[in-house]
Amino acid sequence: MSQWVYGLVDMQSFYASIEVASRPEYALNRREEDDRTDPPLVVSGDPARRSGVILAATPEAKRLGVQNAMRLGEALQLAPHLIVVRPHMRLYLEVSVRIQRVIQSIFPLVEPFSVDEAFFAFPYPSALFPDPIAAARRLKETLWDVFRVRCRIGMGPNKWMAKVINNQAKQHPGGILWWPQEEARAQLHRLPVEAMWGLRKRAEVLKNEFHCQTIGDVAALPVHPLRHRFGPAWGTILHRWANGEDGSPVDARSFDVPHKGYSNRTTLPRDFFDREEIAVVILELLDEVCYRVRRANQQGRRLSLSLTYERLQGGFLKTKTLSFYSNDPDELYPQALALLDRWWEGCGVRAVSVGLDRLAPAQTQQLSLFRHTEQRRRLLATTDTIHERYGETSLMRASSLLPGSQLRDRTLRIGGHSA
Amino acid sequence: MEISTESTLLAGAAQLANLAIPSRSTMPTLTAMLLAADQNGLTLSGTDLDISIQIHLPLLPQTVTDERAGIRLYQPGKAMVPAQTFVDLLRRLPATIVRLHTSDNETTHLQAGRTQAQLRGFDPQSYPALPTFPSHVDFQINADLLSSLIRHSIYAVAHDELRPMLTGLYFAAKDGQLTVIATDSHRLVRLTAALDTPVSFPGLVLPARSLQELDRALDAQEQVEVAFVHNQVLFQTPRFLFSSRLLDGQYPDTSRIVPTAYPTYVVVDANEMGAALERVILIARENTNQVVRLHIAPEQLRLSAVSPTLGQVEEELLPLQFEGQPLDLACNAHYLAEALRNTTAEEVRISLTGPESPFVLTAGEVTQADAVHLVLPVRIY
Repeated sequence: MSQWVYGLVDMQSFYASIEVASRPEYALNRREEDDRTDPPLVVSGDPARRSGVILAATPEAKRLGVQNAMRLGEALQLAPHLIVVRPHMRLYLEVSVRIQRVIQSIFPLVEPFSVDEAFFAFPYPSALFPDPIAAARRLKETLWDVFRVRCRIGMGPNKWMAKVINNQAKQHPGGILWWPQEEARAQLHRLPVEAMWGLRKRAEVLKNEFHCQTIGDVAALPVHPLRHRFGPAWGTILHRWANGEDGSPVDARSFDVPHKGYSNRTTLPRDFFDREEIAVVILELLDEVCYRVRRANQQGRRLSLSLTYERLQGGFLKTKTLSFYSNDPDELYPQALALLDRWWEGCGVRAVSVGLDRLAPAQTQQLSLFRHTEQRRRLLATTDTIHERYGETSLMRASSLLPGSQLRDRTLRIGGHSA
Repeated sequence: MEISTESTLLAGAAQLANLAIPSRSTMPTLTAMLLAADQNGLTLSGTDLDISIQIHLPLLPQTVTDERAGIRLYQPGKAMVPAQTFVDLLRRLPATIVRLHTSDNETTHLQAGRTQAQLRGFDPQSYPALPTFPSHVDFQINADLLSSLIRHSIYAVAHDELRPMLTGLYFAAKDGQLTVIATDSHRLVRLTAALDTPVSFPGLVLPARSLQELDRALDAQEQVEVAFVHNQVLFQTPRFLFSSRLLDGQYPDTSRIVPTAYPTYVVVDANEMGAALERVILIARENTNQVVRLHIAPEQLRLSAVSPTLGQVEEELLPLQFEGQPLDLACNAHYLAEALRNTTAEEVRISLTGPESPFVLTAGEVTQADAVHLVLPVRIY
């Protein structure tokens, strides 16, 4: 009987690879099997300022000590001859979509997982896929031939294992690793606890409180103490994962399902210390979130605010569940400010995120004695139309002319970086 | 300080004073109860700085032998005891004579029958100053009436701390006519009552929580004297003095919200409608605005609710009276049920002006009602 093999393909230094591939001066020397043939190049948030953050670095740049999320100034101290380029988000997204299509042309089931990752699955053994390694190599070679992007592929008996094996493929020459069903469990149990994907701080607890060194040690634990320590849901998941079990399907339509919530985030060009400046940014993000919620004909009743502090370290995510549903920023803004005033400790703020979830269809609206709900609704519908037709900056709040405003900058960007 | 009195009398007084005492506080002294004995009697006080309660127990005349009527004073003075423990201890004592005396600033000895206890409190000097009733009285009201005004309006206040004024009840009087208003901006209650004297005072907003505690302390039969001083309101009865801060700010203008004429009205049996609503709410509470739809016609009043996940429900009532044009509207079922319940009449009149305008519930008999419960509909797209 044939089983299914699950794989995860992960692009290497995705943004940086595209930048290198699109520059003829570097392209000729590159060889797939040797990433030392790439130049030491980084994509940095804002090359004009040394405070910009490294978004991606080629392996050669990483060998010089450069890391993702490092500040550009710091990176240039380590490697003065670093090639610095600004991001081209639109290009990366286009390449990403085309790569997903290539993966879909090779495997029957594909689930895009992020801009540079995808799960896939195929039956094995089967006439089309007699050899998983050969199939993975075909994908890897195609991606190199067409896009000049290197990738790493891990394959195993389920999605979670594929993710773990993909990380193990780093040490594997050729960047392709497959653990067949028969040996997957034994291989998994040899790995250290840290190799369990998706645990975050729970790995520390397993090591310190349960004295587990390897995933095998975790698998040997009975499920009860795990459930007691981590709660019934996580306890069960840990137990299953450690035993190499994961039932989640490859969902080809995962990007099409209705949104459970909407959120927008922006990274600031410098640390903001002034409440008024942060408030301007919050309002702009809230406007954007509410616009998307209105466009989906929804309203939400849980508001979230997240601040990330200086050096992109520390911060908080706090939510507030309201007694009413809304998609009107004027109603939600005071609530967002209340979250800010309650939880912000005055640290420098480097990134702000605002979200709205617990959504319901916007089919009914409770009328108010002191608010003109119908006029507000018509006003928002009109401004939405103007924004769609003439652009976001064609009609702005006066507060978007204040120094803290990110709106005019942000409209030129995708995902917070230059398009 | 040294006094003696009967345990149930003291327990009752201590329980009342405890209403104002927080169980936890950043100021530890606030979790204590202040006892002060002098030639007038014993006063038990508690405060959380927003509200305060001072309970008075009179001195027993020498000739009276029934200890339940007051206290005996041996040594005037003050003491501070841990409030919750003091109350719990008194409540667990059998009916007997309790003797309290202080040995030092912070220790109070309690002796009752075979019970001996020492309660560690704080230095009474550290207790915050408590308000006294001023020389003037703004109005007098029967406790029963005041209690009913509070109970039938408090349901409509807002619980959103971002609209602080709406978390309070608005009190105003004109020529002896007292008006109480509560609204959370989706519904509104306006109650009016005649006072004994033709007093007038401008609108003041009292925190709902304070009034809730006051209501618990009130005893139906007593007369309550009310006075406003700066940012405080004081309520005095023969048994206690209650104070609360007033909410500071502008209460929204509600004078033009209640319509003066209604083209359509329907009168229904309140119990019947209440029971029907209870069933409709089971479904309505699962949809976004807890929407119930009303179809109001001469021969029937139909209530219905739909939930995409649960199903639907429909109820039909026979109107007792109807006048005007048939009307369809939708509103929050929970708001409607609360308004209905607080109308406290057997027959309730629902008066309407249109599907997206406020409608009001009043007691069926009266046209110029002294209790108006208004609800704003839900708009359906």
